[in-house]
Amino acid sequence: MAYINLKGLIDSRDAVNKWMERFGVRFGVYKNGVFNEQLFPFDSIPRVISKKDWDYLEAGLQQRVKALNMFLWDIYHDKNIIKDGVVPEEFVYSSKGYMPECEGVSPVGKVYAHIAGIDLVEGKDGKWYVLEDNLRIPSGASYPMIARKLCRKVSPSTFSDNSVAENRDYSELLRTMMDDMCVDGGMKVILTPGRYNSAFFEHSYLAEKTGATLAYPGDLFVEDDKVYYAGMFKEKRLVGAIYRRVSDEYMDPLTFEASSLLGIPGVMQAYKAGNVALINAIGNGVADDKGIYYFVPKMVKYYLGEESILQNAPTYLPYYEEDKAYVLANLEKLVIKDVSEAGGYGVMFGRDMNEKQLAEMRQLINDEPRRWIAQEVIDFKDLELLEGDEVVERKADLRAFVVTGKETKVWKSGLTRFSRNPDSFVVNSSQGGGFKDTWVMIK
Amino acid sequence: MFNPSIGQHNIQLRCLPARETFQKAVSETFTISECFWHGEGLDGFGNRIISGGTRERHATLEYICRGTIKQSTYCIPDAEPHPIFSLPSEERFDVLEDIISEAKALHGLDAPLAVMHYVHRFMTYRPGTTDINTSLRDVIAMRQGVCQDYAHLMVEICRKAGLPARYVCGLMIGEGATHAWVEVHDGQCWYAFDPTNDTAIATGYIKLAHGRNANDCPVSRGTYIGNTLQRTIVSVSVTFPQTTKQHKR
Repeated sequence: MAYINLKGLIDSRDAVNKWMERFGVRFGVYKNGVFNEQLFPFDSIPRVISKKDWDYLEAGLQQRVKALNMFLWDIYHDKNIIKDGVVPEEFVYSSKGYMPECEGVSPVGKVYAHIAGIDLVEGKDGKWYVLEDNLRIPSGASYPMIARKLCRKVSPSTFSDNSVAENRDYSELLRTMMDDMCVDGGMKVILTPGRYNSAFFEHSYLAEKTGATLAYPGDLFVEDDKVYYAGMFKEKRLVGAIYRRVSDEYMDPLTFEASSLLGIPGVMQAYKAGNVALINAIGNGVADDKGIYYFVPKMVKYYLGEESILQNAPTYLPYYEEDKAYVLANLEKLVIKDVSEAGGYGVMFGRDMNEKQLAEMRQLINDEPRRWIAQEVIDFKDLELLEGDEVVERKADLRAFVVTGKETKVWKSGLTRFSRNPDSFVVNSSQGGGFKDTWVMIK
Repeated sequence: MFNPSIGQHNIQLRCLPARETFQKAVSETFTISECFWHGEGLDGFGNRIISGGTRERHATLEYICRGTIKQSTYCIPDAEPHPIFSLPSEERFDVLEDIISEAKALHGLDAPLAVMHYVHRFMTYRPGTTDINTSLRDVIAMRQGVCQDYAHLMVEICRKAGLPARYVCGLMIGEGATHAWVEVHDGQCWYAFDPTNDTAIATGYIKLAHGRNANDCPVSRGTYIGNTLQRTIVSVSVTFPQTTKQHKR
């Protein structure tokens, strides 16, 4: 990293964190039923991705997300990938993310995952591996956006001395995508569940940056299968696109969870009628299911006729007898994931388990093979970060954001999350880690 | 009826007869309180639904569906039944193991018939002992309930025995409320069974909607904003030969 000058940034790191506190860059965490909002600690040493690595990642991410969108269309329409035996039907229909209510729904432009958050790690061997696809409501883009802005403020010279790709264009990517999707020239809104959502800062920040209206659940209503925004003076305005940050099951109390106060009653029919775009589409969970992940490289081949550019971490499905035998025999060196959990929950490392726990885990895998996947533990590269005045090394991943409207584009930045605990490989923000800016070099 | 009146009311109704080859609507009318907008659509299971709503304050919501149906024998051809109707719950019920093995050993429609007879004998019809939220586990423990519970139990046994099965909501001759029964797929067609009355259905049952379970096909579902007392009156009348069907709420 000799050619990168970070002195200005490092000298002013306290200033950046102070600004963030002032701007309310927070992340909410629910623990034992209590809501705590915490600052999302920022480390000023950026992750730097070389142009060569980025060109590879960009091509791979575009390819992967295109295939995932085609898979979602196929699953809710012709189901050819199942009929052709590429993905077993058990993995699709018993997935919690599969929504039979979405059968036959045709979203604008056949796009389901408008915003995809693909989690990657860089191995010590220099290879990148995809750990997880997030196609429902991936969060986190706002943090590197505001971090970059603040870094520029406190150390402008850093960015004139280094050839870093601009990342403030994320709002432009979102805006263009929302324009592409928007129906009948309606207004564009970002629907937030409200200020007690863990990512409320992000909802409001993205609304401000994209020029979309930040809407709360009570602001939107359905009439004649169209969605309207109830303005301050009781006027109603047609809504053409909803970037919704409310989960599928709470989106429409008439179709899904009946007790939901966060959704829009009747929105599902408006959506089915093609009168509004939902960003992201409903039912995407079937494609980012941890069990389906295994099949993504096969999807790329099936739909695009190309070899997958990006690699998955080596993964085993106990559903297949051969894999089950391997997993049971090698449990102590594998990481086991419960396919129905997200946010870093339900992830267990065989090496941390004692004999009794290992035996219990083997029993669970035997009882419900479909529920688990096992992966080789990837020895991923540590990134440097500042702990006090000391430079230490910690595990970190990268969430890349891929935005699909008329075209599929990868944002030249991303959220780099790190674990503060030196022994932990789990970096999810819901587990209390910190973040870094992600620099993509342009030469 | 709502006292006091309410605003912001949205509804979704499955009160129109299903469009199936065995039942043709000769006539069909639907009316709803004037302040409600309404439109017709399909849900993800292909059921006909009416969506509607209003933002005006109102103290009553009334809708009436009338029509005449001409039926042939109940049978729904379907070359590719959706796999979700083959997925049983992940729970295990020891008491059902015998009937599941028995059904697995039988061929053709003998299997669902055996399951239907079993459910009919197993259960005692007793209104008021269960509600829409009662779990299958509780129903099996109590061995009593209403048509919905009979249908859920039959669906579960069929799926565990490897038979695709779905829950159906509809109307039967003369009854004063909606009814529930089960459709089972034999490889080519869906056939209907009424475990509550221990009857393999041929005619006289008007199908409204189907789903995995009752939750997928309620006749009416709605939300409103307001602190109010709600009173619901349902009246269903199905007669022949001067066939009139009425479903009123």
